[in-house]
Amino acid sequence: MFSLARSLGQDSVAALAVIALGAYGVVESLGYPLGGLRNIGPGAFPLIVSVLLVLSGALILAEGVAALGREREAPPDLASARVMIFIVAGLLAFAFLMPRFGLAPAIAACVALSALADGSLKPWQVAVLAAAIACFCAVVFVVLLNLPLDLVTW
Amino acid sequence: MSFFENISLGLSVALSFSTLGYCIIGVTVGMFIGVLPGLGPLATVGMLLPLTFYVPQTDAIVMLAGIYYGSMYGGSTAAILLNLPGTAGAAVTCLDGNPLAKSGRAGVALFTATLSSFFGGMFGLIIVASFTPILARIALSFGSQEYAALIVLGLLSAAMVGNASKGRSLAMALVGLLISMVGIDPNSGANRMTFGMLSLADGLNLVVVTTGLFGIAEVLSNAGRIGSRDALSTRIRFRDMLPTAREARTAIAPALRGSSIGAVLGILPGTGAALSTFVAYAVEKRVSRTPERFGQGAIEGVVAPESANNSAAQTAFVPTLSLGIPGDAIVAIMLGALIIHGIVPGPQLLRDHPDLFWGLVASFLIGNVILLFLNLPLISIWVRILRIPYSVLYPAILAFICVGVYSIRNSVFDVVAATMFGVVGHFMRRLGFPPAPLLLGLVLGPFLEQNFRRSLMLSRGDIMTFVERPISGGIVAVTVLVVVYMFWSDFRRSRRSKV
Repeated sequence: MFSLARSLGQDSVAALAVIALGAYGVVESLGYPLGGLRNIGPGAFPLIVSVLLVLSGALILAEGVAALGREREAPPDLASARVMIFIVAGLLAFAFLMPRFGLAPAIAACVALSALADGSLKPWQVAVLAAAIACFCAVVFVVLLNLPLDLVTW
Repeated sequence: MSFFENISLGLSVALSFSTLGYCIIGVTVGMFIGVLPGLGPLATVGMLLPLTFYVPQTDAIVMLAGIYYGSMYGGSTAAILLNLPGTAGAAVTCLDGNPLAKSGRAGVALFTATLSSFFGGMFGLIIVASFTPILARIALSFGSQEYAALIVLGLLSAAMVGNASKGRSLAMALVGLLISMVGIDPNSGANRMTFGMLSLADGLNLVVVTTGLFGIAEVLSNAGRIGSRDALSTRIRFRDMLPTAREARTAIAPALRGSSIGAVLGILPGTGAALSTFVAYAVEKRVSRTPERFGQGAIEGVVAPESANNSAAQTAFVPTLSLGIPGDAIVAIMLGALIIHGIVPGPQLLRDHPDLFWGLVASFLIGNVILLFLNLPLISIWVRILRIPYSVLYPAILAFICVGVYSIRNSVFDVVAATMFGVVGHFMRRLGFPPAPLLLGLVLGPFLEQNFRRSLMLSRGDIMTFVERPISGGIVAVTVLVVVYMFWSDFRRSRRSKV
């Protein structure tokens, strides 16, 4: 019984999220000219899509009620806080370092931080991995493919 | 132009030094990411898309396409040896491929999977070469009404046909449409949904959304979960790979059925390779006189899905190159690549760029042959690649994503946006939302809006124009039938399960 309650709960969360997004879309698109049928304005198409989005939210809820009591495939589990924090931190570190210090340090930081999410590598392995991937990216992207990226800048 | 002129034109393009090189790179990368569980063709194509901005257009498409069908070959390796699908299209292959491997016949399973893949690929290739020009000729008479109707059909079939909940898939396609409207509206110049941010004026880049929703979200789901793998360490000799004569005979019909199913589902806009494997397997089980062998290592259970997914991976290009409507989400990204290179996808593509189309078709032929030789003699290398631990792999994936996204326009904003899409995409998966329809909506959104607007302008505001024109009316009728049938079959199933 517990799993049933949880799956309906999941459907309601999903439906609410979709309906909220659709409602936001409706409000947002009403801020633009709708135009007439002969020449529809920039707001008309987003309005149609947003209204349909609200309706699809209702459909999700209806499906959830109809599927009550039936077995369903469980969706994947959520990432642990550790995975979430270190991977997001790695990506943001790249975004922060790239324009300031260049490609090589940005990649090294991204790899080193995100590798900590898993936790199965020893510190020296993480360091080697970060250096190796930074070198690889430097050779492939900057030397071979000639992307206009600075390797190291101050 | 005659057929042979076309083929020789294609071969002259595909065998040129640079195109052949990109074809080899494409299929090898495809094979590699196909073998590795946890890295799919969608994320890879999205990740490598920015790199193709610096490459000639034909080479870019040849390489991206090679990644797609190459991954269909590679996907079966992990499925058979580890019972872990390397790609979504290989999940069904686990069912009978892995039992075969456990009974000591891994070599036979790998050999059969590769040959079936090759057969399906060739089958799909013939369909692409023969159907695309016909469809393109028909489509030349299409107006905006027909296009608007076709796009709606594509989006709805992507949402309706499949295993995921219809409401959720539909919502995802709509969210994709909504995201596609972010930025300056080309008709009126109004800044839509940009929250006043200048970085959003050009809209959200396809690469940003794809790498976020697929690449980063997949890493978030898998990091710390996929442990080290112990692949079968036994050496597979070529002698052990040959199936018995009886097995070879029983494989012919399933290969033909699987390829046909794959071809149909590949051409249908919105449905792709992964779905075709489920259908092909179910059909084999139903027509078999000994259905109880399925799941125990039936050779048909490997042949049918492997030929289906390769056939579908090729025929997905039929609607893409003839109508400009992608057959599935991966081809949708390639459509985006074409647009970036300034090529307008649609029926005029074949007329204006015959070298691109026939070159691509010829590269399919060459790529499939390369994959055949890449697979069988080098199987021990791919088995070794299976042992690369995910803890080493995913930081590299993230680094490539960062470089790819940043290199589009040297924008920090794009990297942060991709990160956000990754986190949101991860939560979306947790709530059971399938991400693929979103991508289709994102790519098709601008076309849909443009054609919808133009139709209404041409008809002076008469909404009935969509059903009054014969072809567009026919497409609308098919769309309604698909929707009604899908809801009806759902309703029937839920009634039956309650009784």
